[in-house]
This record gives sequence, structure tokens and C-alpha cells, in this order.
Amino acid sequence: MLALSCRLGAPYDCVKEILDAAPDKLRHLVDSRGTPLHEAIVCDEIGPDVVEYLLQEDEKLGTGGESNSLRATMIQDVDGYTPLHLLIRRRFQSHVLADTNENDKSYFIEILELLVRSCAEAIIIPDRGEYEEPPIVMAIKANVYAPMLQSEETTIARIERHIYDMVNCMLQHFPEAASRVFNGYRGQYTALHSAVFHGRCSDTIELLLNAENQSPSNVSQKACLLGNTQGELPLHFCAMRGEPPRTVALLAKAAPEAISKRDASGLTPV
Amino acid sequence: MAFLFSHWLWIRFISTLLAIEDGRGNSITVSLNANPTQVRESDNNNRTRQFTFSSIDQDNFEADLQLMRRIDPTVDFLRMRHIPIEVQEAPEALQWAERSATVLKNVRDRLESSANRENSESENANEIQAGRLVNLNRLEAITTLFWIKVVSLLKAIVTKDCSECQEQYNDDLHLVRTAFERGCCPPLVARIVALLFPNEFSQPDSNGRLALHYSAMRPWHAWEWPREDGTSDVASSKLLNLESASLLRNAMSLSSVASAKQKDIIGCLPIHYMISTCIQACCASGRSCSEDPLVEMLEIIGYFVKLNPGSLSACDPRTRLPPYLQATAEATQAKRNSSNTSSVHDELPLSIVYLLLRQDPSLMQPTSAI
Repeated sequence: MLALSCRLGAPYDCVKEILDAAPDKLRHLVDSRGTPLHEAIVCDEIGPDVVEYLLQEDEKLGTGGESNSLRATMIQDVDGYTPLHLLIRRRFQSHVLADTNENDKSYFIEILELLVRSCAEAIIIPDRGEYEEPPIVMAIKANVYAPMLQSEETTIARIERHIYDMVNCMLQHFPEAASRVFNGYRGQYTALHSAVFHGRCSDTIELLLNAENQSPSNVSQKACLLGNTQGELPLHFCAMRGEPPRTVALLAKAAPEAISKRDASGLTPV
Repeated sequence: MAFLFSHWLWIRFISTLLAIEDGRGNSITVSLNANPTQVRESDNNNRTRQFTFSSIDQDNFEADLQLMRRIDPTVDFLRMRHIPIEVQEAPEALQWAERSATVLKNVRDRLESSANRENSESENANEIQAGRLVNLNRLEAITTLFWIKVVSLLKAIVTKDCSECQEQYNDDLHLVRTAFERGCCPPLVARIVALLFPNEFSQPDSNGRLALHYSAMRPWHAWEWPREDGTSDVASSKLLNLESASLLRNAMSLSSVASAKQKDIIGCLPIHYMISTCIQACCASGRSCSEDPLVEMLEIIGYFVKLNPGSLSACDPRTRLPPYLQATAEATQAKRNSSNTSSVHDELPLSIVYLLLRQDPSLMQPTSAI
């Protein structure tokens, strides 16, 4: 019933009553759908108040013990999507569209922040697709999930700004995500690889580079120097795509060694 | 067949130029802000011509994004690995480099005069702002953007090198040196650098070396050797074949005759470095490699001798031997240190000795240099 009420966009009081009656149902994974939190996240009628309450109760349940040890924010549905994955995939487009219309109000960023603040580690959980994408990578390539948006210059600039905001929010709560290595179809990659590959603006690239420098995690290799199976580094992507000078300069400054590296075809970024 | 000798930045630049030549979006113009700090003061307080361009970005997120998309749109991830056929086989590659250098010189002159005008005339803020703006057409804007990227890459290498060896940093001299020394820089990009900085190109650095020394020292990478097993046919291999030889030929074509006679602080001539590089490259090459690079190497060594016949008897200070004996001594040493038994490796030193002795058989007489 909790999952159904979330799916149908029930009001706050209704969801609260049902949840209070059976809090452990919050982590119940319905086959081929997800937890009540997954349902709430994809429902446009559900606002931050409901999500916040669900997250508070999820935190109270704690981890480990007799109940399901995983937080609802970390539980993956049949496709391997956590609530954060779903938020970006299903609500990013309407969020950008709402930005253009004064009558529409989007709670996208508020909900994203609630999720990230409640469980920051969720931003690096890979899905079950061939690229094993975590939410931070989905946020970086969020434009892919907004096919209805027009390719006007102003819309593109707005999309870039929203992506920047998402990545900024995630890295503020979990800077380690910038240096985390993921396994994709073309070998290992990081959020930086994804950002350059998808042509993100230089501000977003700078965010990732700064977060990597501030990250306390002990990584053996800089993201800038990690090659995929083709031997391509982020600087190669940058040169291949013809990205603007500021992005080139940021990557070159972060790892000058990358400038002399050859990819599998022997080509350097210059 | 003429090869373009490209790497990614250059490939993308040429692809964009080709698109402009098709007439797509030529009419776009962009205003570039001539920041007066770009004009640097030299030691004697005279303005130097060594202008570096500011970024076209004007620190406005949305406006910059839109401007970049209009002038020089990026290629999406589906097409970014594609190397157009026109880029692979480009007889006019040299003209592209020459034309780009001319465009950049022209933009630089306009920026410089705009900055000068601002400093000398205007006191009104609006006039200053208007005076700073230099209007660029699309070709100029794209070429300028390409140049800004090249400079930022080369400067990143220079900064790292200088911080490691605590060497004194001379911006433009190091830029030229890096372009000719590093294997990452395509020959035609190095040519543009040399054309834009002619003084630095012919000026020795703190080691007494010219760009010609550095191009002779640049190691020949394995990718540059055409392979006889057919793998050289892939697009990227075509772009890399004999790249260092092309760089050397570019350096020689832009250097004065006196450059071949310039000794560095340890007394090495460019030909001494060239011989060392050739021997090392041959030792690193595989058995299945083509012999084309050997022919190139011998031609270039022969050209060095033609520029400076006196180099035939000039001893290499490292081996204390004249070039023809330096070749055999270094080859013997390299063979001792290497497990590579390539036939290419054996032939080259003998060919160098034969080539040099043919130029001056009297070197064999007891009175000669040793």
C-alpha cells in the first residue's frame, strides 16, 4: 500500500499514516518496480516534503540488523537503478522545461539534495547497464535523458547550468566520487572521462578536477591519466571533440603528462 | 603521397577549415577583446611582438557557450573518432599551416595595434572598450581558438619541465623549443610556432641549442616507421609515418645555413644529435619495419653535411669522434645494450659511414681529425 500511495502521488498526510503503520515496508522491493522511495521519486506529484519524510524514516531504520541492511536510497531496482538514478532519468527533462515556464514549479534540485544529503554514497552505485553508470555519471550526461528539449542555444546553456548544479551538489556531499573508477564497455573510466566525453562545459570539468584534488581517498592514478581500452585519456576526448580552450587548458594544467600520451592509434592530443 | 602528420587537435582544426571552405557559416564574426596585459614588456622596456592571445571567453557562462557553439562547434561522441579522408591525404597540408600562420600574424598585429591605440589615445571608458575590440571573421576566430589551445598545451609541458629542473622560464623561447623537441607536437604545428616566433626560432637557449638541435634530438617513435606487414594502412598510421623526419625537414627549411654550424654549450652540432637519434631509432625498430626511414635519415644527414661541410671532421664531444666514427661507436654501444637483432639496425651505421666518407674520402687519411 505504501508503494501504491507513492506511485499515485498521495498527499503527505496519507503517505505518513501508511508509513508510520509499517515503516519496514519502506525497504520492501516490489518485483520489477522498486521500493516505495523509487515510486515516490518518479512521481511528478510527489514533492520534497514526502521525500524528506521517507528519507527520515529510512535513516531511522538504520543499516544492518534483522531488517534489510541496505538503505532504501541504495536499493537497486531490476535495472540496477537507485532512486537517484531514477530521479535524473525521469525528472530532469521536466525540470528543465519547468525552468522556462513561470507557472511550473520543479522540486528536482530540492529532492536531489535531500537524497544526496541523506545518503551520499548512493551517487557512486553503478546501474546494471553495459557502462555500469552511477548517478553522478547520469547527472553528467543528463542531456541524453531530455530528448524533447530543443537544441536552441539558450536551452543548451540552461541544460549545462542544471548539470553543473547537479554535479556540484553531489560533489559537495561526496567529493570522493570524482576519483572513483568505474568499469564500462570500453574499460575503466571516471566521472571526468564522462564529462569530457559528453562535452560538458569547462565549469563542470573544473568542479570535477577540484573535487579530485580535495578528495581524501587514496587513488593511485589521477583521473586525467587513466586510459580506456583505446588508450584514450580525457585530454584525447577533449581534442577529438574540439572542446573550447578553457577546457583544454584545465586538463593540460591538471596533468601535463597527458599531452604526450598516445592513444591506441598512436595519436597524441596535440 | 603527401602525409599530413596530424594529431587530434590538428585533425579537428583541419576538419573545421574544410567545413568552412564548403561555405558553411563563413559570415559569422566575433569580437576579440585585446587585453592590454597581453603586450608584455621586454627587459629593455620596449614592447615585444611576442603576443599571446587571450581566450575568446569573456567570463559569461551563457554568452561564452553560445559564442563557442556558433564559431567552433564541437563534434559529438559518435563522430569524434572519425578522421576525414581529406585530412588523411592532404597535398595542401603545408599551405594550411602557412595560411594559419599568416592569419595568426595578422590577428596578432591587429590586437597589438588595438592595445597600443588604447594606451596612447583614449581616456573615455567607452572608447577604451571599443578600442579594445578586434573583429574577427570565422576563419580568424577558429584559427585563433586553435592557437590558444596549442599554446596552453605546450605551456603546460614547459611549466612542468621548468618546475622540475628549476630552469629559468622564458615563455616564447621555451614554447618554440617544446614544439620541436616533443614527440607530441605535429610537424606542421611546430612550423606554425616557428613562423610566429621567428626570433625565438633562431635564438639559442641557455644550453646554446637552436630549434634545429632540438628537432635533431627528437626521438623517432615506433609509430613513425611504416610497417611492411600492412598495418600502416590504417588512417592513424598514415598520419604518423616519418613524422620526425618531416619535422626536421620543416626545421631545416626555416633555419639559416649558420644554424647547422651552431655548437651548443657542450660543443655538439645538430648533425651529432641527428646521428645519435638515428642509431637509437634503428635499435628500437622492429624487423618488420620498412626501410623508408633509413633513406630519410641518410638524406637528412647528407643535407646537414651540405649545409656545413666542416661538420664532417668536427668531433662529437661526447664520443670525441668525428661523425662517421661516432655512428659506428654509438651503434656498437647500442647493440651491446639491446637485444634487438633487426637487420635495419645493422645497415644504418655502415650506410652513414659510407655516406660521410663519400663526401670527403680524405677523412680516412692519417692526418684527419682523430
